[in-house]
Amino acid sequence: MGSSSTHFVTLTPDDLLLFSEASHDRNPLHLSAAYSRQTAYGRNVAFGILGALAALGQLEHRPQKTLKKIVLEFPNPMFPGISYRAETREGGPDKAAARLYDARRIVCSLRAEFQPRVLSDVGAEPARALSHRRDAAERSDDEMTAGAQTNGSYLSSEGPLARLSEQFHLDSKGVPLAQLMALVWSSYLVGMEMPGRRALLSRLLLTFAGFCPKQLIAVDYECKVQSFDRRYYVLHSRASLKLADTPFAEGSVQSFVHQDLHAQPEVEPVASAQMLGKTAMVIGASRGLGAAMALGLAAQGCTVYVNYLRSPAQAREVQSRAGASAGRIELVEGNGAERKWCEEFHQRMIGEHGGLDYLICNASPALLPLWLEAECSDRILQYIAQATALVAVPMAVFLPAMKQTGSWAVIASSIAVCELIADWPHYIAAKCAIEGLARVAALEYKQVSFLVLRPPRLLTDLRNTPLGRHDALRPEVVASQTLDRLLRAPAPGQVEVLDRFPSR
Amino acid sequence: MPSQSVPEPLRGLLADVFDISPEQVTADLAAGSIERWDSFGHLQAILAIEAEYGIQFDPQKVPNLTSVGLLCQEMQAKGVRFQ
Repeated sequence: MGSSSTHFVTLTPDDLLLFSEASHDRNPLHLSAAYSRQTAYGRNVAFGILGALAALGQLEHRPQKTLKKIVLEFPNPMFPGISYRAETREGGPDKAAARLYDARRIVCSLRAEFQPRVLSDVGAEPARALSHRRDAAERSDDEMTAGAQTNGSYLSSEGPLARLSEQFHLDSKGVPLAQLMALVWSSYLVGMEMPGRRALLSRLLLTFAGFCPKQLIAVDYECKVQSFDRRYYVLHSRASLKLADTPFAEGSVQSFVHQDLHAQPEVEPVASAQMLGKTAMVIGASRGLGAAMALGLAAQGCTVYVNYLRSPAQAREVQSRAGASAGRIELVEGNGAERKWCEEFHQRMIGEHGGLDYLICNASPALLPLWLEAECSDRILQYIAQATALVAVPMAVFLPAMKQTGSWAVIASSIAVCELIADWPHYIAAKCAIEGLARVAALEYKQVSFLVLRPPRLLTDLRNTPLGRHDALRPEVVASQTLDRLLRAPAPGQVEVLDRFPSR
Repeated sequence: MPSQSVPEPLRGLLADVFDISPEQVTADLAAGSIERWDSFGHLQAILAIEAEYGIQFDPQKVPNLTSVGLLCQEMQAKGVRFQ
């Protein structure tokens, strides 16, 4: 029986920067808030290998050992600022395992085997050209078919790498600098080369040769795609590292590839002149259902105010896609959950249009699963507060300006309020709350018709995960169905629920 | 499928994926009942079975294959013969 122990580790934004500097992995998912906001994760994701290094740092000291084999898995994303529980299991001098947990959810799993430390003098290499990328490769699906290869020479930044080693005491844990370089190289390989920008490392197996060089020297690497499963967008590769023509490490790499959703065809809107000259405000319109609604309303002849927060490029894309629509799209940057911003915009709206005909409340924070348990309670409450504010504040500010019979407030809820999902307590509570707000608002604003949308899982950036995208409905389908309802007779002072949509 | 009848190779494969002992792999073992069988573990199990047995599951059905027994049934429907 081996020993086990429990510790806590927290990664910081500075840790991410240090890792990036050491590894040359500059994938924007880890470093760019603007980029990561557009993904299912909503904010910068920690490098998986960095989490694994933190887990390795929790193992017992093995100064006379080096890694023989390591298997890493990253079932869920890690984020800076969250305290992860590290549980380690020692299986003797040559075997150990560790897992990092976010409450009950595993975010990193590690199994390691060790061997006696044999340091060798590989000798200085002649100077060579290194081929580190500055920007992550942009590869199409067709560039990742079985047999595709990438190779090059790689050398970590020694100073930052040494700081990483010191931070987690890795040398004394059986991971000398050259092996640490191999681990951070795998992050570079996936995040910068193959697949590149669209990647997230999910599994790594590396076996090491029986020697380890004393000094840090450049390695030659090769990576060959074994398969690219387009059902789940999972890429399997074989990879190897050589030091001065001598095999040093080899193994397999599995990564998830983010599927580009922006090439989806649009759904033709119903032709009508009923909305010509009317005014719409879409809160949270830079992507997904909000973007599809904005485009649909513009196609009907509305002036559509597209609200976005921190996604200007995507908002501009929505505007440009409106192109020759009968209506037009105006971009408005701001936080729909902020009363001050809503009130300022409200005044502008009154001045320019005299009021609002359609208020579409679609904004919602990124959804990451959480269990209803103590470690997650703060995050659950924070999510509910943010998600509810994104509907409550715009409704409170804009509904009084919707004086005409025929005006509509559309609230984007979810079928999850009926078909419960165990690890979405925050999402479901927030959706129930906003539906409740709509019902109460209907009592006061009797001139407004309320439409609550309960779509099934939508194929949006926020749900673009390997299993999440199957069976997911395109947001354009929901937008089309919603527009169809808005074009029919209103029901002032009533709340109608739209929960039946054609499949795909 | 009775709990004892999970074929040995499949038992070993799933034990490796879920990091549990082969004895724990019964037909009743279900998604969510062990910490490693979350959505990630589910996909890893599906991919490992497909690679080992040379079959492809229908992605629409995959989310519903939530126990070892259901996996076995679907594998047999795909022509896998357990001895």
